[in-house]
Amino acid sequence: MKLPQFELHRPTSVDAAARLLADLGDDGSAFSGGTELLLAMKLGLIKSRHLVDLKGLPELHGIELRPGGVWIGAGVTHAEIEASPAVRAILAPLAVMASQIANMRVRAVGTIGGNLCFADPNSDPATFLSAVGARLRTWVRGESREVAPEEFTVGPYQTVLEPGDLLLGVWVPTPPPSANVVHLRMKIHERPSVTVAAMVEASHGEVVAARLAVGSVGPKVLQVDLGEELRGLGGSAYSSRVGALVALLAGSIPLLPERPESPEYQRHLVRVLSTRALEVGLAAATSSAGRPAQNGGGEA
Amino acid sequence: MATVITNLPSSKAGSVGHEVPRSDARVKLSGKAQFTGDIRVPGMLYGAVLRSPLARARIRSVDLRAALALDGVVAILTGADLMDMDPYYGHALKDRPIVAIDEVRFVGEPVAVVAASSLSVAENAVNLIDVVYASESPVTSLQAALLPDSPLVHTKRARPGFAHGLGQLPDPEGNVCYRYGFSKGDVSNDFVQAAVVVEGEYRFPAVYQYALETHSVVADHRGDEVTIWASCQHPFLVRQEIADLFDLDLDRVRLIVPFLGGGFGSKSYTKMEPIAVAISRKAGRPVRVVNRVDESMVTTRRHNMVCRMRTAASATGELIAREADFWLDTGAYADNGPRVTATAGDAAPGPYRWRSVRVDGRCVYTNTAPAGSYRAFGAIHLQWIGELQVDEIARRLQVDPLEFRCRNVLPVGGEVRAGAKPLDADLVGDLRKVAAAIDWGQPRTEGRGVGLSVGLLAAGAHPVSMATVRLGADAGATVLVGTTEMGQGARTAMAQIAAEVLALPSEQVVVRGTDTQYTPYDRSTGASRSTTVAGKAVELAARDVLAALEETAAAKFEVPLDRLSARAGGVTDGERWISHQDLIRARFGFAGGELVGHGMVQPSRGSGSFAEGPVFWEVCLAAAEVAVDPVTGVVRVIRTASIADVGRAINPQLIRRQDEGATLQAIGNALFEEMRYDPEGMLLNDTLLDYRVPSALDVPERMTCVIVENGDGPGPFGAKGCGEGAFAGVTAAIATAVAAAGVPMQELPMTPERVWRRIQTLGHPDREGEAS
Amino acid sequence: MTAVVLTAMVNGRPVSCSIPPNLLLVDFLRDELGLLGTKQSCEVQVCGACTVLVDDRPVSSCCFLAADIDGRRVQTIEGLVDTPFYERVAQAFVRHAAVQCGFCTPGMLLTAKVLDERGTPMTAQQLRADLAGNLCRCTGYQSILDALEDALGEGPQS
Repeated sequence: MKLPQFELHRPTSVDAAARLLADLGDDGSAFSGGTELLLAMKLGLIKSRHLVDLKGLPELHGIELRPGGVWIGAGVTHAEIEASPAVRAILAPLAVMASQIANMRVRAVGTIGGNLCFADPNSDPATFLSAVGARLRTWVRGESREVAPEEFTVGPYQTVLEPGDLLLGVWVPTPPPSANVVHLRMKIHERPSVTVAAMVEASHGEVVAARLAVGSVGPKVLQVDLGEELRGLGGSAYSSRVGALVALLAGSIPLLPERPESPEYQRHLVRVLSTRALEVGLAAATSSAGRPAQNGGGEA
Repeated sequence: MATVITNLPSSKAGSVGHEVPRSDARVKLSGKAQFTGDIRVPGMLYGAVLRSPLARARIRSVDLRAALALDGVVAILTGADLMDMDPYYGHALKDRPIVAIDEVRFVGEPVAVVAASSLSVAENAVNLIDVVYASESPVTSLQAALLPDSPLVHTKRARPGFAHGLGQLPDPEGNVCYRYGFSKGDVSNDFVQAAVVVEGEYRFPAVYQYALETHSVVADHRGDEVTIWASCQHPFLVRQEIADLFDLDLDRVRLIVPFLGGGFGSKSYTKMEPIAVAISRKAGRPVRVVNRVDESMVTTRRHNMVCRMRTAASATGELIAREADFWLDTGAYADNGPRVTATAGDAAPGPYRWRSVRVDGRCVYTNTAPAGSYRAFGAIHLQWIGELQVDEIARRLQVDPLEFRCRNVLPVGGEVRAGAKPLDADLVGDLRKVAAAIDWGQPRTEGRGVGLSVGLLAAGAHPVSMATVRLGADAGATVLVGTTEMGQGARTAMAQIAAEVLALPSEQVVVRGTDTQYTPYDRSTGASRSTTVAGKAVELAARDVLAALEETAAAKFEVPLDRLSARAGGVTDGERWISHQDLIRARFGFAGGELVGHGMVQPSRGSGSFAEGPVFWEVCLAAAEVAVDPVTGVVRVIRTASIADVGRAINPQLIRRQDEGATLQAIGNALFEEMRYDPEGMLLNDTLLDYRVPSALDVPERMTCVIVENGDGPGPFGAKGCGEGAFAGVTAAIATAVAAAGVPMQELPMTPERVWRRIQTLGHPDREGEAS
Repeated sequence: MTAVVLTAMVNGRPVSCSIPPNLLLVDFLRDELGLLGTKQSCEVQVCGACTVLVDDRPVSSCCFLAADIDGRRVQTIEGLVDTPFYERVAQAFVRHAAVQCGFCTPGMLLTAKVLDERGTPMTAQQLRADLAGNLCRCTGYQSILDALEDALGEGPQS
């Protein structure tokens, strides 16, 4: 497999890159790690005649610990997130999630921004970031804006960005001390078939706040704030409420068509993984109250 | 002058039976090993293939103008270029055109081939070829193909191929292109009399062999000669097929086989060679054709199958009767389907003492990619089914599955099939050994299951192999043998065999790849035959050299020949010793010359055991322990044990590697590998993103390979082959283990969803909330 | 297409040339530089046969632009062979017969090099997870895992 012909552009500023991409319109593609773009071009799924290389934009690089959270540039690779002491300090499960993406070659080259902009539905980061309340900073017609991960994606391989808009980076807030983040996924093929992430904040064994995000099954990440529904609950009352909520969610979540697994089984997995994530989330939040969230991800 | 030593050199332990390091390890580690895709021939062009997007269609027109106008395009081959020859090939059934002629029969069938100055030009040109098709309704499943009014995939009766080896071909019936069956005893009566009968319908998937190196060929057709570098397992059969197809003399077709990046059957018989030769003939230049993975997936695959089987037992725990009907989907062209059908038929009864048996197998055409050989074919298709039924009977009779098998398996010398070689292995002994290796009978954790399986695979293919051993003046030996090194370690094992005979260190024996111009004939590399058959030829060739050495030594020592033997790189009469070098020097009178020995194995010669088929019965015997997650349906293989009943282990370490590799392939085949087609015959998972093969994360906690050496093989030093048995054995053991965990499955692969569904229908309590 | 000018160090040797921007690194290494030890199999970044190191990081050269090695160091199996690490890992692979057909082997060794550089002690499960990005259809992986445990655990051999 060879790549089709294209021109390679290497702008050095966000402004220049944005202008170039705006001018090129549908003929241009932003290019960073290329792990998804180049593959799609080889397979003939994308036919851009111009690639605009964003790796030379300094604004897109770097992970910075700032008051209240961590800033991750769009051009940061999964491997950099995996190894970042700043990320581990405030949200270790994010590093663990990054460490499970594809394989070490994809992680060494592929970027968080590229992953989010490519918007492959079978992918973990958007779901995870949605659950932890991350915000994506975009550059839209010369202005900086903020958008939630679940709003950023509008469908498979589609985001809110228009030609000339860029994703600058991701703001990940430090979770409250009594919160716990759980990321679970089921991999049947090379890419995840179901991704679930939950953040549960608890005090004395009772829920203060809870958020659940489900990805890899539908056209985009589905995020639900369960704070209202679960607040004040613990023990068996929590479990039975979670069971009912998750059953409702699993029954109604939109699914992608033409998947190897049946809708029935996918809904079953959504229910099982969501239940586990919320149960483990509360149990761990209760046991680790006062310490940074440490619970990692895992394969179902 | 020749030095005679009376202080005998110590006879270091021989080569055979030792874990000699692989002779090819270093060259492969350093990246210097040459594969076909690394060959660069002067003037070489790059080929790319246009493949059909439709499963069944008439070709209305092909417009090459835009493609030919592209800078760098040298030639384009289509069916129209094949009118001056008989363009059909196939070793079993001559049913396949080199490229499509007038019609296409599967998605991915080659329609045109471009030769250009670079691969990107060739790929671009392929995209510029304009083909107009008239689509017809395809037959993309066994069910559809077997309907009485199903359209025929082939309307003309295929001629027998040059190597079908299947006797008189039966008349085709609809889309059934070959049928194989046999029976003994009164099956109907025995089922009526039986105390327990188990029956069911079972499904086996199409799977992809995935040799990491895809099918690769460089062909150079000039005048009345052709030279082919190819990733092929059977160079001599390819030579014959190319010679037939292009009307060339056998000795004008030269196959050169570098290292193979895996084979597993996918590179057996003829694959991309005819296309490469045809485009080279048209272009007048050497052309290289290297498949992508998606192309190799439609070049050959394993047969999917539907099987109906029933098994009967008496109240006293004797297996008495079995019936098996099965239908193998061979795709649009027969490839090795007829042989797969026959081997599956032979494996269907399983190695038990039946009163009556009826087996009826059909090989069926459909509009899908052709299916051919893949490691342990036939046995892997049927063994898991038969063994599930044996376990179910044992369960109903409340007998331990191990004891039940030990009571019912054939004894040594038992009749496996009328007219075939009697059983040449101790199955009870093997069963006890594998059971011990998996701690059979120990209490096990909830959700876990332990299973056994035993079967036989007709192995060895046709026993015709020649070998030459050359012993040079420096006492280094070169072995010329047609076995293809595809990862199994053949070159190392062959070196050990020659070294053993000549009492040389094995690193002093060189074994190179096949060049049909110099390497003597060998039928094929497959069916676990190489160590047994080609290895025997190597042993005989080395003995031929040794005989010449001993002849010289006898004259020198003035002793009779029967007092001489090889020892430590020389020959001894028990008191005196002389080196091979000195014997060669003595024989030729100066420091030069060489001794050349020939070895030959053919059905009427050798030990006599090559006279009847199969060459040997490969034992397919294994055990597995699995964990089933009742909530998600995920099956994990915890432990496996397999038996390598090899007669004599030439290299125990390489045998263990064979069984471990087979075990991982078995895990893939049993649990997740499956080619999925849409109703129009399009392969849905044609990349490794969607077709998953086992990775390091699928390795069981423990894999045990028990090597059994009873000296009962027909090969060198009592050896017989291995490497396939574990594949069929472990696949079936995983199935019986999952059944033992409470989930008897009737379809492979046992994907999480299928297992989950099965649990639902069995009415198991859904252990919700129990984290696994 | 406008050609891209490229200056890089490949296996310790400077390389300067002008290439088309759509040239893949694997094709640049194999066809332009004749470094045939890098193999290509799945072409979709799953199998790891085409693994090479760019500034010590592993990449799938089948989905990486040759243009992106500009100003960087590339190491292929041909460059690894001259290092002490190679001898250590090669001995372990020979000892465990962890080489069969050999098509995955160069990629395996470059992955091993990354694990060796990382230096942190590894659990058996981590090693499996790290190796899961390199497919081998012959060995069943156990011998490769054993060889890596030996080679990565013991440091340079005397």
